[in-house]
Amino acid sequence: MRDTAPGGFVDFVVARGPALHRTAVLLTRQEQAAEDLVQIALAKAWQSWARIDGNHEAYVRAIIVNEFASGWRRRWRGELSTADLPELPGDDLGDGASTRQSLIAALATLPPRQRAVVVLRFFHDYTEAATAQAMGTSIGTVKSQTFKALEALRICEELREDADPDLSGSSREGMTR
Amino acid sequence: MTRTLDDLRGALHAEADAAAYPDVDVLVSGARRRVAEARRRRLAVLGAVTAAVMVVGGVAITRPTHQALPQPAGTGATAPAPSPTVTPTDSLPASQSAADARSYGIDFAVAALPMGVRVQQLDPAIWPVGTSQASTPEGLWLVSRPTETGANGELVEYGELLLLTPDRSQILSAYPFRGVPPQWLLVTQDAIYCGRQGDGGLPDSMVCRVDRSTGALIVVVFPNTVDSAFSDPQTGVVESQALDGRPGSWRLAGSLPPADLQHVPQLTADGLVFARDPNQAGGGKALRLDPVTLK
Repeated sequence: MRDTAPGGFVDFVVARGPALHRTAVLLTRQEQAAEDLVQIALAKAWQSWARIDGNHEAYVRAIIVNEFASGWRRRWRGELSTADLPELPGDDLGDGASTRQSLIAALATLPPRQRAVVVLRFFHDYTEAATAQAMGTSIGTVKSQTFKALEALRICEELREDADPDLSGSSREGMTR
Repeated sequence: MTRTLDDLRGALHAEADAAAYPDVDVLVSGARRRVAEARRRRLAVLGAVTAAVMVVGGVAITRPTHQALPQPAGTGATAPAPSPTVTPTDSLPASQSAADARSYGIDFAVAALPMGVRVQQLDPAIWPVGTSQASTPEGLWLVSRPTETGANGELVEYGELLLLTPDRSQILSAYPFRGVPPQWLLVTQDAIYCGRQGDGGLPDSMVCRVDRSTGALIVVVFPNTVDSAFSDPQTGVVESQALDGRPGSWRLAGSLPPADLQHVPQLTADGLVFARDPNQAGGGKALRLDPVTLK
């Protein structure tokens, strides 16, 4: 049995662990759950470390996102997405802090897949194609999930420009992971 | 007030910045511990398989051939629909031959998994609501959730209804459920029923029936009205074409009924009856399906 970490693994965690943890915090909104999520992803990556071709961080982040969107369902048992969106706090407050607060609160109400798409697209600035690759799904599904998520978050102004699935081409096509 | 994408980006970065800095030693040690636990589980599986083989005659570990049960009606002979990649993790024999996988519409990568990896029952501690296995004269029926990480880190949204030999060494029959993995099963004189209620991760619900004499599979899917995996990504409209290529007879029903599909139904003179879901608006409503057609 080999308990020694594969070459470069520890250095990778030291360098990129905090960034991966930030992703996990945005998904889980709980420090302890985020730590668990990162550990699970690192353990999976550990076992296939030598086979990872290229970007280790993107690989581990993809595991985090998919573990959250799929495996994390056990902790989401009974939570169903709904057509009746909750009233968001701070709608009548104009300052940026309350806007951010209300957006984060609204983000927590999204189904896991939509939340994962939002984090990849608008925190990590992944392109739709990169998001689709990371989540093992189609670009069309990413567009659809993005549209639904932004609709739920009531981001209206740029909704049609950036995420309407009926529009081909996104203004963020030039972004890279 | 109007929220913009810049507001969203700002909120995400502010939230991430507010997170405590993680202890990287804890991350590494946690990963190491989980790797060790996974190895222990694999060794336990290997030991169990070896012991089972020794008990039945000391034969080397091989996947014995078997005669497939009658095929489900519908498109059972078609090539498997695309599904996420899984990676066999050990050098143990495949759980199914390629020919068997093709006949049951099982993805070849799933068939290549060793039995110990492929047969993953729901943990009763995590999912205590229903029976996930039952012994019958034809063998052991069970609901399995094999999960593996693919080449791009994706997880398989996949579950199966399996008929195994009593010693779990062979798969006699396999029914794949991509996107709607079963959560429970019910054995009756004529049929095996399975089903699931959607959750936050996989929002679609489903009920299935396997005829115990013919092996024919009928599945009715209740797509979630907001976030169905069977909806067209462009229009959001749920379309029956999304079920094409699946073995057996699959159909889409209307929206999710206000009944409890999470728990095992009862077979009564009135049909297959699911209790009302008290969490639904108005206290829910019981659902009755024809036990043969699921209509």
